Amino acid sequence: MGTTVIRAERLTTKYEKFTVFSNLSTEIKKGKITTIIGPNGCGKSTLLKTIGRILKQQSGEVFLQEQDMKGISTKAIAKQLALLSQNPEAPLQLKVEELISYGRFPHRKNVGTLSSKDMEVINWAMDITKTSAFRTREIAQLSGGQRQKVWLAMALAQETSILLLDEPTTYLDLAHQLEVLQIVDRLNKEHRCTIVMVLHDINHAARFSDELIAMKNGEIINVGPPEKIIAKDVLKEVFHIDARIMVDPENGSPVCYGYDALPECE
Amino acid sequence: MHNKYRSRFFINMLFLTGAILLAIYIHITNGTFDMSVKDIVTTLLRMNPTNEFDLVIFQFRLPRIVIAALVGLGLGIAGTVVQGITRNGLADPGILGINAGAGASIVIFMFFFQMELAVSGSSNWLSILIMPIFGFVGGLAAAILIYVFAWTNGKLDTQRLILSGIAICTGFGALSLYISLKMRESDFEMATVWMSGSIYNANWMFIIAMIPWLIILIPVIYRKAHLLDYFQLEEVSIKSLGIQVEKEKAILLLSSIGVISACVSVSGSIGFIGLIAPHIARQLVGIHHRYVLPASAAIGMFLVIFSDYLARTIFAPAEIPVGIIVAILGVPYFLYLLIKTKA
Amino acid sequence: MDVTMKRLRKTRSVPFLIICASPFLIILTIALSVLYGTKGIDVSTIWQAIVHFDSANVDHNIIMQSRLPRAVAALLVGAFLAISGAIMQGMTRNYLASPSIMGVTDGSAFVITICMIFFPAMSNINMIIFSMIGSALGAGIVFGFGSVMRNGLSPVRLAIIGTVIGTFLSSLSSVLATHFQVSQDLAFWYNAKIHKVDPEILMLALPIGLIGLVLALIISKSITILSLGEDISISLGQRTKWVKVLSILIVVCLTGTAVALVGKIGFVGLIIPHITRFIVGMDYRFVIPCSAIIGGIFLALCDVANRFINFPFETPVGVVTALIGVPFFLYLIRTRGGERRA
Repeated sequence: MGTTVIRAERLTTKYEKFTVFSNLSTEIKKGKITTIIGPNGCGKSTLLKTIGRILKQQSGEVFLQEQDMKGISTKAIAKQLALLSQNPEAPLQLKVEELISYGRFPHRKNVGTLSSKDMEVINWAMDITKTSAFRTREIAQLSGGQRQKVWLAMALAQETSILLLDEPTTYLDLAHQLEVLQIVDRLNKEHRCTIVMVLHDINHAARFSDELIAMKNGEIINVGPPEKIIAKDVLKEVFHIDARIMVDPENGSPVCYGYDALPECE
Repeated sequence: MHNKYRSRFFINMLFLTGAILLAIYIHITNGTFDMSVKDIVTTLLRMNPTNEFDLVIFQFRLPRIVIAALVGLGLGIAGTVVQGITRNGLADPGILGINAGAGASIVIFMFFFQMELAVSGSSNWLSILIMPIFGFVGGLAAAILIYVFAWTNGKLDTQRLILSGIAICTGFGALSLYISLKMRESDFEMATVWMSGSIYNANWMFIIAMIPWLIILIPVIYRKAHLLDYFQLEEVSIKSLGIQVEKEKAILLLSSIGVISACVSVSGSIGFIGLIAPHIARQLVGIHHRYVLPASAAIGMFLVIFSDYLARTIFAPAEIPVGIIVAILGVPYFLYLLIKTKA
Repeated sequence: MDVTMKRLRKTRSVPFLIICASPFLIILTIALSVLYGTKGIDVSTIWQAIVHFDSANVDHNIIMQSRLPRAVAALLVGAFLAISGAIMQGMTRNYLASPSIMGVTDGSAFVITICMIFFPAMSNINMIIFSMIGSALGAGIVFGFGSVMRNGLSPVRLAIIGTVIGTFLSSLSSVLATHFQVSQDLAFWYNAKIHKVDPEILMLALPIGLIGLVLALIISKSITILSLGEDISISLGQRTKWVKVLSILIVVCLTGTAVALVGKIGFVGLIIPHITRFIVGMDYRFVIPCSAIIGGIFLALCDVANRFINFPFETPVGVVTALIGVPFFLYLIRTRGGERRA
C-alpha cells in the first residue's frame, strides 16, 4: 500500500441548487494512476474539480499531503497540483510556447522575463509532450490532437507532483488518444507523478490505471485495481450493461470486448 | 521572441505619439481664433506674452486638450480591462451602462448638493472634487446590477452581459433625464450638455479633480496587466494556475470603475472609446496586455482629442457634444466588429 | 409543443372579457386623463364642454384643445406601438422584437429631423408619410445588417444591432440639428411631446390607425401560424412571404404614425405583447386586439402618472415608460436570455 497524497472526507458539492454528491470520501495513492469512471452525470468531473479546488465544496475537507487545502494559498496548491480542464480555451493568436509558459505562473515572482529555470522546465514539458516542433506556431494553426498535447505541456510546466486530468482524450482520434495516455503513463513511470483522471473509455482506464474509482449517481460504487472493477457485476451495477470481458493477452489488463444493454426493468 | 513584440510595440507607440502630437497641434492652432505655432511656443515660454493669447491658450484650448487626453487615456485603459475581464470583445464600459450609472449618480449629486455647496459659499471646487466619488458609487451600482443579471452557472453569460448593459444604460439614462428635469433651468442646461458627453466647459479645476484617481489607479491596473493575459483562458485553467480569479478581477474592475468615474464626472458619458481603442491596439501590438494597455491608452487619447477638435470646429461657433462625434465614428466600427466576429 | 398547444387553446373567455370591457375602461382612462392635470377640472365641466362647447370658456378650451387630444393620442400611440411589437414578435419569433429596440422609431425620428431642417413648413400628412418612410428605413437598416451577419437575426444580436443603429441615427440627427440650429424643436421629438400633441395631426392619424388595426386583425391568424416557425408555416400551406410583407407594412405604418404624433416612446412595444400573451395565450387573433387595448390604456395611464411625478411640470412620458420598462426588460433577459436560447 502506497501513502495517500489526497484524501477527501465527507465532501458535499452543489451545482446551483442541485447536489451532485454528498458525504463522499475517497483517497488517492501517491505515485499511482487513478481513474474515475462512471456514466454521464454521475459526478466524476465534479469530484475531480472539487479535489482540485476549482469548485468549492459545500462541506467536508480535502487534504493535500495531510494538510487541509482550505489552509493553503491557491498559488501554493498550484505548485503541487495541476489540473487540465475538459475544454480549455485560449486566444487563437497565442503562440504555443507562450501558452505553455503560462504554466510557470505559480513559480514566477517578477512579471517580466522568464528565468533560465523557467525556460528549462518549459523545454522539458515540450520534450515530453513532443510539442517543441511547433513551439512558435499560433494555437489557431494546431490540430485538435496537437492542441491537447500543448495544454498537457502547460499543466506540466507547473512542475507539480500531482496531475489531475479531466477527460483528456475526449474529441481526439484513436491514435491521439493513445499518444496522450502514453505521455501520461510515462510521466507516472519516469517522473513519479501522481495522476488522477476522468475517462469515458473503460478499456483505456483498465489499461493505464493502477486504481479505478467507479461512480454512479454521486456515489462511489467500488474502488480497486482494474481486475476488480472491470468485472461483469461491477459494470452491470455502474453502467447498467451486460459486459463480455476477457484478459488482453498482450498486457494482461482486462478488456471489455462487447456488451449489451440490460432490459430496463429489473 | 519577446524582442519582436517589444520592437513592434515601440514602433507603434512612436507612431501613436506622433499622431497625438499632430492632433494636439491641429486642436490648439485652429478654431475661431487661429494661431501659429510660433505664437503658441512664445506664449508657453512666456516670451512677450499677450493677454489675448494667454486667454485662448491657458483658459480655453489647453485645459480642453488636457482633459480630452486624460479622458481618452482613462477610457482606453478601462475599456481594455473590461474587455479583458469579460473575455468579450464587444464589452465596453459605455455599452455595459457603467458610464450611465456614474452619470446618473453625478446628476443626482448635482441636483442635491451642488447648489447647496455653491450657496454656502465654499465655492465650486469642493463639489468638483467630490463628483468623481459619486460617479464611483453609480458606476459600481451599474457593475453590480450587470453581474446580478448576467451571472449564470458561475460565469458571466456573454449575451446577457450586453443585453443587461443596454437595459441598465437605458434605465440610468431615463433616471438622469428625469432628475435633470427637476433641476432649475440653469442647472438643467448644464446637466444635459454634460450628459451627452462634452468637455467644452473645461477648466483646470476639473483636471485637478481627476488626476489623483488616474495617478493612483492606473499603476494598480498596469501592475495587474499581465493577469489579463491569463484571464483569456477559460475559468478552470485560470484557477488551476493558482490565480485568485475573483479577487484579482474585483481589483481590476473596481480600479477601472474608479477611472471611468473620474472621466465621466469631467466629460460626461463618452461611449465607444472603450470599445474601439482596445481593438485597434490589439491590431497594432498583438494580444499581450502589457503592450495593449498603453497602446489602447494612446489611441484613446488621440481619438478623444481629435473628436473634440471636430466637435469644436465643424459647426463653429456651435459646439457638438464630443460624445456624439465619437458615437458617429464608433458605431460603424462596432458593426464591423460584429460582422467580423464569429457568432 | 405540448405547452404551446395548451397555451394556444387557453380559455377564450379572458380575451372576450377584455374586449367587452374595453369601451368602459377606455372611457374611464380618458376621464381620468381629462380630470387630472395642472389645472383641476371637475366632471360637470367636462360634460358641459362636450355637450355645449363654449369657445370663450378657458376650461372648455383646455379640455377640447389639450386634454382630450392628449388622452386620445396616448391611447392611439400605445395601441399602435403594442400592435407593432406584437406583430414583430410573432413574425420573427423574437422575444425582444419591438419598434424601439429594433431601430424603427429612431429611423422615424431621423427622417423627421431631416424634414424639419429642409422643409420646415411641411403639412401634417406629409409629416406622417415621411415618418413612415423613416420607420421603413430604420427597420430596413437593422434587419439588413441582421441578415448580413452570421446568426444576426437571433434575438440578442438583433437587439444589439438595433440599439447601436438607433444610437447612430439619433447622434446623426442631433449633429444635423445642431448644424441647422433646430435642436430646440427637435428636443420635442426625442422627449415624447405627448402633452403638445396637435389635434389636426391626430385626426389624420385616426383613420391610418383604424386601417392598420383592421389589417392586423386580418393577418392575425397567419401570424399565429408564423409564430410556430417558418417550416411549420410553409408546410401548412401558408404564403409566408405575403404575410411577412403585409406585417412589415403594418408595423411601418403604425410606428411611423406613432412617432409623427408624439415622438419616440420606448418599451411599450416590448412589454405589452409579453403581458398580453401571458394573459390571453399565444393565439394572435386575441393577442393583437388585446395588446392594442392594454397598450393604449397603459400609455394613457403612464401619461396621467407622469403629470404627478414632477408636479406641476410635465415629465416626458418616455421617461416613465423607461422606468417601468427597464426592470421588465431585465426580467425578460434573466428568464429568457442567455446563450442557450440566443
